[in-house]
Amino acid sequence: MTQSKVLLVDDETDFVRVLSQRLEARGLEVDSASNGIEALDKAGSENYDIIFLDLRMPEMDGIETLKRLHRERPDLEVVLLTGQGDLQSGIEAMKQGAADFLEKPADINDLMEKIKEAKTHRAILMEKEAEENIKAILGTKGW
Amino acid sequence: MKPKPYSVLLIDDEAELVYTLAERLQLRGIETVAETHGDAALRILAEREFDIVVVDVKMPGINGIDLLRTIKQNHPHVQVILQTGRASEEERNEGLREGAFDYLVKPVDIDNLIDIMNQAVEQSKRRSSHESE
Amino acid sequence: MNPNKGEVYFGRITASISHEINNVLAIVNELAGLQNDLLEGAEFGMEIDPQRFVKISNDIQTQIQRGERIVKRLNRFAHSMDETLSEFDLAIVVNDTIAIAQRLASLKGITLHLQSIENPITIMNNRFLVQQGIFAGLELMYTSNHGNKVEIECRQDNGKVEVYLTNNEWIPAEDWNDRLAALSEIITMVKGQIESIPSEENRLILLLTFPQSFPLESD
Repeated sequence: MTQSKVLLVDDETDFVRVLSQRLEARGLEVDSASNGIEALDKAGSENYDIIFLDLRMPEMDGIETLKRLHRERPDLEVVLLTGQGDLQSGIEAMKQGAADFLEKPADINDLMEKIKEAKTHRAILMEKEAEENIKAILGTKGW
Repeated sequence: MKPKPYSVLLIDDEAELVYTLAERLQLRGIETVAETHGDAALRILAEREFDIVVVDVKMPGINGIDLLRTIKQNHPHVQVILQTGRASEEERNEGLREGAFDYLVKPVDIDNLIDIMNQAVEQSKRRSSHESE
Repeated sequence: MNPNKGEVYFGRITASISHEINNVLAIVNELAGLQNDLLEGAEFGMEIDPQRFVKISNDIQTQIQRGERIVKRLNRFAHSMDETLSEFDLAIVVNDTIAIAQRLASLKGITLHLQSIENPITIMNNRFLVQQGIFAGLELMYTSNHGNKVEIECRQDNGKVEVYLTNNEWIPAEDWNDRLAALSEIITMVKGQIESIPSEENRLILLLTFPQSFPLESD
């Protein structure tokens, strides 16, 4: 498998810096954004395997950012990071199309697991898409 | 059980903790040596090689961060993993800056520890293949 | 007194205690895990040694007793803030405070030795402040010590209690004067006295004196 590409979105820059270092130490390519707008911008121009989104951010919160991300790119794998015991927000995030949610501070191995899952999921999706494209082409050509 | 292809040195001033953890790792086929003092750990590191050193941050005598620095200076290829208490965020970050592979918050789940040790060994492999290119 | 100093002190004490409790939990976690490992191994035909299990159970018991002692200490500390004035046993407070400060001192390579103490030493005072004073005194001594130990001695004398803290190699830390000023502020609040006595070969004795009954303003 090729290197996974991750986007971390959180306004706590210390947290982002440390987590980036830890993920990079595991051979991942990590980008970061400190707010929702920046996240939308980066997700528009880069291809991420997974986006970790903090729920609590000033201005645009995690759920709102998630909604907008999915409006542009419904295929994006987004995992929300919620406060401890905040099941409600996690469920809300899942309803809005998040792939999953994790409580902060998330265990590094749980994060790695999500990244692996997301990568596999995306591979399957891409395969399906290719299949449908071929079908569509075959259909229009009337073969 | 197939032996894991790496060796581990555990250092923690809580003797009961470090010897029990060592025994549990050995049961899993991981070659493990336990020490309760930083000085003793440095002596044993000078004598033989380890792939991974797991260090408790708060110890009397040489503390974990100083130990990390010394190890990284003398044995740059050894991967160091820190164990910290819940409230030691600053030390954790300092440890990462000083070249620790990662940290674990006590009490540690043994499977988590093994996952992190595997990841550390993976990183070493990536590095050495990079260096030999 | 600056209320902030009280908060800082409270934070240090509780952080130290919670670190100790966490250590106990970490050890119990490993011992229970080891028991589990051995049982799992038995399922795959590994031989079980009953004596090994007895030893693990005993080790868990020992840690639980250690945990109970720590929690009791925390509890006494928390209750010390309840009342402004109360009658209490200073010997317990000294023992507790040494136990709490020992972990912090040992990070600097210093052990705290309780030489002698009478039991009990009943005094009437603000327990929280008295403990804070003893803690601050110990801290002052182990941060200004290039030796390896601080000795503690308690004596009752004529309505007073004297707590002697002795450094075996006194080299004042940079913040010695600030710390000493903070300490004497606390000691004044509990109507006590403070005196530092230099002695031979770089030794320094810090003497904290507490009244056994709290002198009211009208006295």
